[in-house]
Amino acid sequence: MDDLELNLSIKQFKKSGDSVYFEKIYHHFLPKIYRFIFFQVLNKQTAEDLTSEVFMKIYNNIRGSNLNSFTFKAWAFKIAHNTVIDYFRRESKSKNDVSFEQYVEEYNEREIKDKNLIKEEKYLANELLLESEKLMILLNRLPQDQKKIVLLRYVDELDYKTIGSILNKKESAVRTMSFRALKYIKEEIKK
Amino acid sequence: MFKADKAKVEEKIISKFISLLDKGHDADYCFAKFPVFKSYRSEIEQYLDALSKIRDFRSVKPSKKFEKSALEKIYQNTQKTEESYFQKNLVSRGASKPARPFLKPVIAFISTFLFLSFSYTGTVFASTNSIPGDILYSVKISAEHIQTSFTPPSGQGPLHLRFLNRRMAEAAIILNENINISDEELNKLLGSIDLEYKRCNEHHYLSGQQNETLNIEINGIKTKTQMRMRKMDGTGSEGMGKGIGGNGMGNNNNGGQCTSSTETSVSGNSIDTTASDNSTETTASDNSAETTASGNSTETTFSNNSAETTASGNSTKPDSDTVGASNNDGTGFDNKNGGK
Repeated sequence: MDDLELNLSIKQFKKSGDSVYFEKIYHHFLPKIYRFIFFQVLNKQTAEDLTSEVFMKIYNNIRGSNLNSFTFKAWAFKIAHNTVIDYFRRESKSKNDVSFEQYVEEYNEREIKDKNLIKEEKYLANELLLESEKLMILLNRLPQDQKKIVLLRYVDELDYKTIGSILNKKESAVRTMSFRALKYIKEEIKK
Repeated sequence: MFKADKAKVEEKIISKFISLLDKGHDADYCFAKFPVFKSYRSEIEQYLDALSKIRDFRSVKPSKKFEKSALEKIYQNTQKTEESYFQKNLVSRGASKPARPFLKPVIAFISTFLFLSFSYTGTVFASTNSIPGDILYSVKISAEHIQTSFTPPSGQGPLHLRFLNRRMAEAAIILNENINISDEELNKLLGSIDLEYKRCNEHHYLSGQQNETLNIEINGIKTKTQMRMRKMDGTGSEGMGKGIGGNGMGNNNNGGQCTSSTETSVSGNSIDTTASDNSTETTASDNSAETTASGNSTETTFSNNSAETTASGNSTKPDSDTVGASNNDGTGFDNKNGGK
């Protein structure tokens, strides 16, 4: 779906409320949002729950918003970003009041140690499995913001400006952080 | 070149290369087109390798089952939300929440105040064209009193002049259009003309010429009023006389007393000394009315007399009957006219 088609679908859905137009948007953005969430929570079930929560919010609020293709991307990912943050906040509170940042760090370590996770999920092709597993570990070693930037910039191909608006960062900061993350991954792969 | 500078250049070149790839250009095309990339080829290729591995994450996708079930879940939930929203709105529209207890007296006070102020304003507005004898005339006068009390001393002069003009206009309407009002009302009107004139003078608002003009006008009104009163009384008596004539012996008391109220001759003829006293005063005042000086005393006499007239008009006392009979016998009204 290109920007023009996305614009049209948003407009038509807002105008008519016809679910066909929403489904077009849904099918286009579902893998992106799911991926963005999955690489943060590293759990299929949680990722699915949070993804459906995100789309519920999108469905309920899209008609009351004034969006185009550019702002919609930023808006949808911002919802996903906030939903994940809320999830970690809820979890950290329920786990003996561990700080949010500490919880996320521990969570990543714990989940990544469970190497069966990726195998069970069967998300990645068998030939890529070993390499992807290594890459997953590399990705999770990155600071949270850099990890998100890598996903948004190089996986979902969002521009720096959109990423900045999602993560509340300056475009130049996003640019620098994305290069640093890429450089780190490159050097780790080289080893 | 320093290490830091080299890293910066490298960052710029890599970023530029990636942005070209984003625009849809092929890596080979970029190397061929921009010679600057050639010197960094090995570096760029390492980055490209890392990038392609990261892009492999794109193969992470949700299952088809989840895709379907999530969509259904969204529709179900949103339907529920819409229903509950509708119900909530319906309830809130149908039965509005009761006002908080402490707000009740406040709301009652405000609504009463607004109602009264609006209705009073409306009544005052409606009363602007009223003349003495109208129901709304008292409202007009009370509004003027309020206006007077809220006006500073500097504005009192013009205000009283305006009121004086109003009173004179009212008197002119009554006199010119021959509107039937009681003598009491007419006397009150004359009294208020005098009062407003006096107040204008108190505030030294009138110039000498204005003063003279107003004086002449007021005197003219007074003269006209008194003439009208006389005429009215005369007409009233005649009317009564005719009525009595028609009735024969019926209520000729009315005719008798009515005559007594205006004419000396009748009162002397029949009723008592008080009546004759009144009539004497009347005569005196008739003369004085033209001079304006004793206008008040004249008016009082008129009003007293007229009050008597009204009362007698309704009474059917046997005594009066006797009196009336005597008048009738002597053709009281003819007497009166003759006396006049």
